[in-house]
Amino acid sequence: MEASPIIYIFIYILTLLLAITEILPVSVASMLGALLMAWFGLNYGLFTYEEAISFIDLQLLMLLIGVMIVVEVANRSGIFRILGLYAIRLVGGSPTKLFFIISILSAASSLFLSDSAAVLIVSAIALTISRYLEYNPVPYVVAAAIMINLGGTGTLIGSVSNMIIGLNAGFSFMEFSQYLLPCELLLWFITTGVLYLYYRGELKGVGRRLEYDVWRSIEDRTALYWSSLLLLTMITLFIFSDSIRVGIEAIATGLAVIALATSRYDPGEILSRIDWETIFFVASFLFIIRGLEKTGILSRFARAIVGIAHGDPILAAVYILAISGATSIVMANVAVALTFTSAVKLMNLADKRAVWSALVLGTNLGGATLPVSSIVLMMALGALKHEGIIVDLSELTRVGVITSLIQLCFAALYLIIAFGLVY
Amino acid sequence: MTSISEWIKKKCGERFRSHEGIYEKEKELLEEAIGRSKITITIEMPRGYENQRGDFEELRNDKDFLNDVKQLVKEHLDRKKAGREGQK
Repeated sequence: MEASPIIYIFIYILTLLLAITEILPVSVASMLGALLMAWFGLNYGLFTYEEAISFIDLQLLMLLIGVMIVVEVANRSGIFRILGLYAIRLVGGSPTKLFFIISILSAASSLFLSDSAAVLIVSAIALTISRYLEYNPVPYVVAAAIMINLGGTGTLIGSVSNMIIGLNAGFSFMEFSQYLLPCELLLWFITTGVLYLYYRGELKGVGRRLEYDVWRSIEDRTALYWSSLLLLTMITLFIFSDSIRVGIEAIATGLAVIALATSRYDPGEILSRIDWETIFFVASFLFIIRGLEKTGILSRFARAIVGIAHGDPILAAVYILAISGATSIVMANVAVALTFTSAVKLMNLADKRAVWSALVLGTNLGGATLPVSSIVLMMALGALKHEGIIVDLSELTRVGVITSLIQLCFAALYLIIAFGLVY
Repeated sequence: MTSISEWIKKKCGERFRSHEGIYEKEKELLEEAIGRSKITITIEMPRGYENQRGDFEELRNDKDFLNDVKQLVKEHLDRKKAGREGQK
């Protein structure tokens, strides 16, 4: 006996609703959805038990956990804090220069750090420095959150959604950066410029010179050198992973073990700071998507996109950019990445590089449109509230909508120009 | 509209609170580097004021009281500095 595909769509929508409304924590909502999918799928013959086991993507989980551990050890040592303090001291205390350096720093830190870790560090830096200089911290913290959301777009390890898309697309670390880093760097300047135009009236204050000893913020220099070396080794090995013929997930896992065994930090503490919520969400939601794939709904969606685009990969890429960007406004970008990755895999296109790149851009750029679109803006607002500063949500929404629209339009233009020259 | 905005603010607070410890530690290390140091002192309720326990505990959030303490700190530091200069 077969169950109607509507049941599986219902499970998918129910999971999303539970996650969006936060009736249940996102990881639990996703695990509940996976449980329902497994029960119906196995009982109604949608998939076999062996197939269900293969739905668990070990390669993706290894990469996620491995990268998170290596980056957490580096983060714990203070490497990102010290780089930030050096950069701020270099530009002095001018409110405008400080605004630009905090924006660029935020985007750069997000190339490696998770969004939540980056927003905690940059918000702490922005709030401490602006209070010390008696500046209004809101422009700095809001700009930092928007730039952190943008920041992870250009590298395969920049965000969880990038890892999902990159691995499924079969992009190497270098290929991923080759297609997306130029767009990201251009977006850094465009977005910083837009944010500056928006906030320039509020960037007031006497530009006092900042003098401080950056090394006083470091608890253990040896740990800092060692963990920086491990992070650098991971990135170098990622770059040469094709030549040395070792998968990036194996590199990440191997170095994570070395980091845990040799760093001076308590492995238990490092492991407790890993984003297990996201890991469980990814593993369980992927299970739901694989089940949905079996119903044929995603292949119908894929065919429809290719049909509307008349088989043109660039047009299909622009459609995917628009749809994934719009859905990322209301849905967690990891859920968008998992759903659309399966659809893109099923697309009947000879060359999907533009479509994969569009998906990376869409899932990342849509995420900072509304205060509830991503964890970054929520955490930034939380940090401001913690310091007794209440931000006008309508103003924040206006900034988010303006920057996201400009970013998505520019991304569409980039896809047309960059991949138009390739095809 | 107001209830949505309140809901968002509440959610932001909840999200942040789960990471508050990391944020506070980060700020502490930054303060250490930037140079504005902090001290934490414990003040015991004075004897004879037991019936004003509530008033006493509220002082930690009383802006006037905190400003008075800040002023007292400045006066003490100025006096110490003047004393040292007088000795020279």
